Amino acid sequence: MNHEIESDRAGSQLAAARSGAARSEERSSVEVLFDRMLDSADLEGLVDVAYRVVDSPFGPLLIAATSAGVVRLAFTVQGHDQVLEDLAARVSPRVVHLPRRLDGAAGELDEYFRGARSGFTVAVDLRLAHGFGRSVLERLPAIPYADTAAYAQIAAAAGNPAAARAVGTACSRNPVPILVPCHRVVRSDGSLGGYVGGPGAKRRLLDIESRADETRPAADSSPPSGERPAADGRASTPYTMKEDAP
Amino acid sequence: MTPVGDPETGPGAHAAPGPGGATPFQRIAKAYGPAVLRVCRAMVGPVDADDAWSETFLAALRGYPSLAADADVEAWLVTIAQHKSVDLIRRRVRGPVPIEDLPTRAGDIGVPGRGGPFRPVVACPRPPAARAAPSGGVSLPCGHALCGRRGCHRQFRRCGPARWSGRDRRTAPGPDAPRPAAGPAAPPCRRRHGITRRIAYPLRLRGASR
Repeated sequence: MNHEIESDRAGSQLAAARSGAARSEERSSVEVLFDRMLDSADLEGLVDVAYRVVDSPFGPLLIAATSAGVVRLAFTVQGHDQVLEDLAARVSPRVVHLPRRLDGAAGELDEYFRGARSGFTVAVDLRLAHGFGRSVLERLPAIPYADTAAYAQIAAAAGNPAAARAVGTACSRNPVPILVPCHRVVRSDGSLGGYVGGPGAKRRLLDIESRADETRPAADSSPPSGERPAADGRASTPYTMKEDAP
Repeated sequence: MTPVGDPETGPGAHAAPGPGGATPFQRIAKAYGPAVLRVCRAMVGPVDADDAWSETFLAALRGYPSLAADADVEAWLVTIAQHKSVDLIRRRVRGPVPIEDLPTRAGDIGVPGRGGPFRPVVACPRPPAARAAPSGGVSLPCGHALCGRRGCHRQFRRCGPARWSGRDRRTAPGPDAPRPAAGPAAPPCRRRHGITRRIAYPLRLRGASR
């Protein structure tokens, strides 16, 4: 009798294991099917927001792009799930994982973290920023690589010298950090100030930039061609916002 | 797909994703994809289930932004899956069937009037021309004739055309009336013609009018 019970139990365990295996197999086949379905959906233009998770010195980074460009970049501390829900509510609920569309941005970010890139050429979609915050973010790419600017300077450049605190708010709400370099904006007294990815991330980003800037030869032989030539004129020109102001 | 929003390990492990509008489609697919695949397998079998699943989620992605905020996403997906599966079954029936040996010549199947599924099912027992015969009679496929009176076919079936005129004098054609299609040489027909529907129907009318 004991034998029977034991074999019964073993049989049920085996059945449970089998059903578990079948379930996991089902899930993986669903993933394959979904990726295949996304190919044809992409051809039809049904993917409004594509996202991807890349590795960085600060842990996984979430990048999301619309057809216009990178619309969101989020650190782990911001909660990727929450960020995706925010995108679904504010841009379009058709948010899917489609890494192919973000190959360019992921490659440039990787080069940037290695110190091999000083400016980004991928298009940025600032549709999540509005009003004064947007005008602040539009001025940030003018800050040279490995350089910093004060909140008050940016406020003056954006047309409202008294709005240094609003500039800080705009930077903290930057939907595309790193690509739009809000980490290069620091306090006037030299301290770093806050950052969306945490102050440690801000420090490390500035470290990466200053180290790469020192090791690079003075005459940079390969300036990255792109929409933001202002981002390459690093040490040669002192930082002025006047040429960028309308 | 990705670790993001994994319903197995994520923080909201057993919380179903909310309705359309606020939930990324990726999470919808992750949560309900297996259930929809089971529906597809039950509907169309394991071979076509993948196609049905893909078409389901393609259609779902297309319509997802316009889904009502309080809609039941799983029921919505299952309904789409059922419709897509029915489409697939219909397509499978209509589609060409692979065979081992090709026929050497074109067949008649599917050509109207040449056999196959388009063969007429029932020959009309009372062609309009026959109804307009001088005596009001009707010619039958066997060559015999019926008078135009309702119900006389019942007599005809019971006794056969040989004794027909003797049994029912009321309905028999008069002696000077030209006989319709049935010539004297026509052999007696004892077959039941199997055309009872159109002619038996007026019998009830006759009974009702009495």
